[in-house]
Amino acid sequence: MSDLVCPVCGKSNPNTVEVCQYCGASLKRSSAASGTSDLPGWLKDIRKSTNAEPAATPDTTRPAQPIEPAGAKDVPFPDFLAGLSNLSDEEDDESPDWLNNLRGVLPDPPLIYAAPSMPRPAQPPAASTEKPPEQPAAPPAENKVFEQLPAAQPQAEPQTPNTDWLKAFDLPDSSGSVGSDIPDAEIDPAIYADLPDWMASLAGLGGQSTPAQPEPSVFEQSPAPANEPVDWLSSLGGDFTAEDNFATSESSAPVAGETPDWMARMSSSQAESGTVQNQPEPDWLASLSSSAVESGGMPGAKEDLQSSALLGSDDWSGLRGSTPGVFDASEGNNPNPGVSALDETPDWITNLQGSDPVSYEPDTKGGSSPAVSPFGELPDWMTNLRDPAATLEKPDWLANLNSSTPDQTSSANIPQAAETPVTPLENDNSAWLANLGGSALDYKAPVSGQTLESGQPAPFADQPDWLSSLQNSQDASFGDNPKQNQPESHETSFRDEVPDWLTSLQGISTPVDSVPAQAQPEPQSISDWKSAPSVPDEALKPNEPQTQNQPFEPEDLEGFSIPGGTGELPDWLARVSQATAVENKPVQGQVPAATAPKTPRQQANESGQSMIGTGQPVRSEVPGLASESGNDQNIDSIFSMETPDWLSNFLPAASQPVSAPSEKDSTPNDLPAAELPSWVQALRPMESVVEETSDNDEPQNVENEGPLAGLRSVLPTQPGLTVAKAPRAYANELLINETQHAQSALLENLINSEKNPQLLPKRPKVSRIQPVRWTIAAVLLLVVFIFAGLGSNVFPSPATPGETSAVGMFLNTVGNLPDNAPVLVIMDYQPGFAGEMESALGPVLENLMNKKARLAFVSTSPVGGLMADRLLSKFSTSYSYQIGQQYVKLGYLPGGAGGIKVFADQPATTLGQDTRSGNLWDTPVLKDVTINSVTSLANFAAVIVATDNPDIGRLWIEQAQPVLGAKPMLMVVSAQAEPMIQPYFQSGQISGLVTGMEGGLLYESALGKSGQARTYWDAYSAALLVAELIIIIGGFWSLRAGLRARRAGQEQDEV
Amino acid sequence: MNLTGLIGLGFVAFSAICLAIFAVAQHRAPFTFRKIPAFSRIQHSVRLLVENGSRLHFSLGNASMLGTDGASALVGLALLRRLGEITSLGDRPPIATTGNAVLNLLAQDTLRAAHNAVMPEDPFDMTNARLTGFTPFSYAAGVMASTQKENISSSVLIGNFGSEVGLLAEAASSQGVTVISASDNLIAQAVLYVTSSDMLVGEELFAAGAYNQAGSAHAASLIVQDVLRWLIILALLAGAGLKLAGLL
Amino acid sequence: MKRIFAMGEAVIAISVGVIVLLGYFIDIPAISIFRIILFKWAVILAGVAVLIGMWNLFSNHLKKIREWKPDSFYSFTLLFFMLLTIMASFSPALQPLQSGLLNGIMVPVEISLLAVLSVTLLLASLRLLQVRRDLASILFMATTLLVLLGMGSWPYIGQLPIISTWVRSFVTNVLAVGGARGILIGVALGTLTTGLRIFFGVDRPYGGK
Repeated sequence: MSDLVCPVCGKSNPNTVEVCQYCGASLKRSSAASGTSDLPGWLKDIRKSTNAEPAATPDTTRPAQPIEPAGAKDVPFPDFLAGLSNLSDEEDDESPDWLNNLRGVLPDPPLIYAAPSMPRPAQPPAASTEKPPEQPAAPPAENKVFEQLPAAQPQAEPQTPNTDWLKAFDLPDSSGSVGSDIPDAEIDPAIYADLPDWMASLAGLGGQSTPAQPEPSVFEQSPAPANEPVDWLSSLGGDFTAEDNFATSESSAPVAGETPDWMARMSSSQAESGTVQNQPEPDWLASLSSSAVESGGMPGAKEDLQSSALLGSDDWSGLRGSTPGVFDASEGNNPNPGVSALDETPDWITNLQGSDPVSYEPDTKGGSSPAVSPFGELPDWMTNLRDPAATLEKPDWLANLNSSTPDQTSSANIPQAAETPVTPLENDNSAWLANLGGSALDYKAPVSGQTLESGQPAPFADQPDWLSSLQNSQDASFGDNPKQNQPESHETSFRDEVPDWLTSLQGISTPVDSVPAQAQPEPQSISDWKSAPSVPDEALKPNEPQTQNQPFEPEDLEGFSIPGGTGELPDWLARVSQATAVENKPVQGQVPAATAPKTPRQQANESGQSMIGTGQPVRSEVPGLASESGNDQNIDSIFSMETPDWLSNFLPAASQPVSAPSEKDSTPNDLPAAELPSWVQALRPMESVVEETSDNDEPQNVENEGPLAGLRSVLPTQPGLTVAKAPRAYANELLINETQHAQSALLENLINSEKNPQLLPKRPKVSRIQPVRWTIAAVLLLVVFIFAGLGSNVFPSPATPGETSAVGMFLNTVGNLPDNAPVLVIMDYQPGFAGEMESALGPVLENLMNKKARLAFVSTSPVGGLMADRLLSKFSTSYSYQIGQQYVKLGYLPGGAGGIKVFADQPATTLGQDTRSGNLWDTPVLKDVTINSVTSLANFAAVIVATDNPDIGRLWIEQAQPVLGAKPMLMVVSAQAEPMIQPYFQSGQISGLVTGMEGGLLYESALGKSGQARTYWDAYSAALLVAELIIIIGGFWSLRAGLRARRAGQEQDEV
Repeated sequence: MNLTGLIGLGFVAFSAICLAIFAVAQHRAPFTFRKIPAFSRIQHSVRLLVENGSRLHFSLGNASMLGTDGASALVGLALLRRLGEITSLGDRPPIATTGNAVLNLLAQDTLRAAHNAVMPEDPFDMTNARLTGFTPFSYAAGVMASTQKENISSSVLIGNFGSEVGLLAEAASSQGVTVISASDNLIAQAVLYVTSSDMLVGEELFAAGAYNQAGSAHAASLIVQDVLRWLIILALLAGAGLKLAGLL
Repeated sequence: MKRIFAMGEAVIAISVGVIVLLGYFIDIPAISIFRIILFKWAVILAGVAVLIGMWNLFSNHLKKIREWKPDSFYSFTLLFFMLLTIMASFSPALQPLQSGLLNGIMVPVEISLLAVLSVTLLLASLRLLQVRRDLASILFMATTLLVLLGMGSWPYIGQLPIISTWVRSFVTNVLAVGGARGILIGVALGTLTTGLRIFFGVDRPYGGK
């Protein structure tokens, strides 16, 4: 068995290995017997029609592999086309750039150009060991395709980074440079001003004025029909000059058999440069042509080219430039004489036709290594196109295209293709191919939110006719809206050049006119085209785990039938029809589920990156593709079907199959792994993109169960982080115990009580009328007034005091005083006690006045002197005591005890000297007190202290008595002071004591006189008796009341 | 120097030493005293009057500062300082009435110090300390007239009073004023016993400072009094015994 | 500055107290003379304090008159008679006025007050057993009765022979005096400790803290 040629590096590998031993690219190929076995039928038919080789019939016997959405199963490569089914549902549906470019409309630049610096999805460096396994190398004949291209004008600027994806196709040369073979100077940048970047890069334009076109992903590249007549390619050039001048491009070639201007320019540029011709064709182009030959035709390849994202980028310009003469038939530089440049089948198409889907041999005719193209390193998918040893299966249509390339490259072939029974679909196919260049050059991204208006060309005016026709057919068959706004394409010549595969697809006898060649794509039409006979929903479930590297089976398209066609649907279409609404809507940033063969779009959507490696998703500017969700499955089924080999070679070499992670995370699946055709596998370039992105990401965990089944990058849950158990139920009620309840109630009461002002206890009002008090007072007054007024003598006087009694002693002391003796009398009683005190002191003074005693009055009270005058005035009638003569008033003695002390020590210096009176101590009254100029209290004959306050009495006793020595100190006190003074009498510190009225009465009695004491003795005694009665009665009454209250209180307590 | 003088001087020295010792011990181990309801009533009434915005009346009596009765006045002044600081925060400042001029000066100074201690920003009204009379009854009459319309809710009578204190207490009681009284005069004590519900008997007057947290020295002085009292008791008993024995 | 004045006041108070105290117990002429001088100064200050007190009394009632308080009439009366008394004291012509003021106003007023006091005390004694139903109150009442019975005389009987002589003498001269003496000793001790606190500077009634 022949060795397997690596589609990436071109080296042979044993047949037993699945991965290239040198570069690591996947060498797995479809299990089909031939590369064409997995091609859809329509591709096979194309090949058959163009080549004598019978078109490989789609393997209808094989069960139609359901279109497995990405991540659903482990498939060899993701179903990147499955994402097409989601285009109609989302505004952000991303259509692969290649598909967009097929219509000549590039995606929104901002979205696509977001991260020009981001690594390209397809970076098939030669040194890279990671290369997609299924990336057949482009056949060597692919250069023919580019040779027919119009010579590209020299480019003054080097190739832009956007063209790197094409550089990926090139194998590294000795210098390691990528894209060094791009004839930069030979390309006129002005011509390709509107070319997409990738086209421009192909022409070596590099940085063009055109907005940086996103690198079209290899997956966006529609499979170029291998058996497509060259005529359709010849018309490519004129259509790609300007979008506005789409119909009037100066280089627009005639409808029929006219080489597209862009192709013409490419060929002219090549002719001018002279070197372009010698430039090695891009490998991908070579592979395309070879694969196209092998596949036996690529129905709709021309249209595919028109709307391919490849053509939508400037790279195509480079493509043209690098392949001089491919589309420039007029220059005569066509390496294929007799075949105009536009008529020539692009080498890539040719390569597709002649390429061996099983084995991929590097194309040496082109001069360049398979992996190296004039535009630098080609992406793997393009590189693989040149590898005849590629195991990627090429679709039939690509194979047919390739086989018919020599004839197709001629301009006659194009009309020939057009001469075939043209169905509207075919016309559409030609139209999109015709629109391939211009629309791609003049692609202007539709403004976001821009809606299609009537008469307004659809943003995807360059939709391949076959796509458009398919939509129309679908509309007619399924009752969808007919296509609208399908401007007539000047490339009506291509209508006659509808590839057979498209023809077979259509089966719709729709008038050609009704289906303009360049049908403006509509969302509905696209969706219709996409829509296909029902595909099992399970096939389209993205979350279903899919086996990795599950090959795509043509039988997936079973059931799909193109109205008006042969009744036999291509497998890929059949699959689409069977697919349900794909749930694998592209989610930005979401990595598609592992192991699922994804369409390029799907992968882009899931990975969040465009097909061309930008950081932002590629919007689907293909309204037709994204119009209806119901047709998404058709699109997915279409694009998930067998991919032409040239597309299968688009897989970047560096990309690894997505199946790698899916192999890790995939769960065992009972379903057998499907063998995908080579062309499907060739779509694996997205795997590299996905892998790169996924490699950059954290290990993706694919949820296998639950609502997030199938999704990747789900936040992992560590065991123990989340305990799958019912949350603890907490009662809504507040659980409190009795104590807390009581406390809360207390607090509530306290708070509520704060609102209410606490009334202060009112003071009991003072009652002006107090009955008891008034009664007592009245009784006492009555008794006193009566007895005092009457002057009764009812109450007898007390008995004569004894000589040893206090009063007796006092009498004796005073009696013993000599006559005319100085006596100090201290008047320290209050005016209120004047009645009692005068009753007691009166008889004493009377006795002293009888003795002719010289009296000296002193007081510690300010009114003492006045009281002395009061008392003496009572005796003025009896005794003529004159002040200064018989008595003196020494004055007020302040200081209390201290004053007494001082007076006792130095009486002359303390008192008795003033300015008005002079020195009283020198008066005759006190002349005897000063003895030898010494004045002392001891010089007094006696000291009589009259006080009502026992404390004052004590003070005089304590302070003055020691000074007196032997001189007697006599005291006249109130009854209230007697207890306190009595000890002093008993101790002998005082010589006599007269106590209150009783003492005065006794003193009077002793003198035999009747004085004030006797007058008030009856009243005094009566009042005392009344008081005693009141006290007794009141006491008993209060005692009884208290006891009663106590009993009541006790009774209340008992209650 | 006679023996009596020496004994007296020794007695005073001994008292001073004990006072110092007990004052230091008070800081380490505070003494606990028996509960005296009158002082509790004083604290309670003071808190109430601050709450209800009434006034405190403090009467110091008519004691002379140059005599032994001045001690009761000093105790009253100390208590006036404590209560003045508390009641000065109320709506109505306290008023102090005296029957002695010297005592009136001291009362004014004490009230001003208490006021400035808590409300230095407000000026002190000197008329808050009043000399109502030079004699006891005139003093009593003046006190009764001054306290009738001053919104007094509590009256503290601590000092040297005579029998006229009965009039003061009766007048206050008839107006719903809480009367807390104390006097070193026996007559006043007897009168206060029947006219006042809360009174301090005898030397309880000198415990006012200790029971109102006037300082550790006040508590120590109580301990000293107790010590000296017991010494005197022992001395009396011993003298009586000796007298009975015929040794004296 | 305040602290300096406060310390000075404390020093003066303490030193004077020590001197006076020593002068009482130590008969040293120097100390005695100094003590006497200090006493004289104290007496003078006390006299001046009387004048200050008079001014305080005058200002209080004058303030009441100025503010037109409800009892300002009494304050006006007081001030009138105060000035009259002062004038009468300094004017010999108004000397008889002083006797009139004393005999006509002062003495009757105070005698009346004493009479009211007696009624008050009598009424209080009636309510004593309601307020205080304890042994002390009963003894107090019993003692009061005995003394009253021993003091006065009965009609035509005279004083009761035992009560007025023996019981009353025992109660007044023994029981009462004993209790009084104990109280007085306690008061004396309190006075002593109060003085000692002043000696130590703990109590400073002369200067606010």
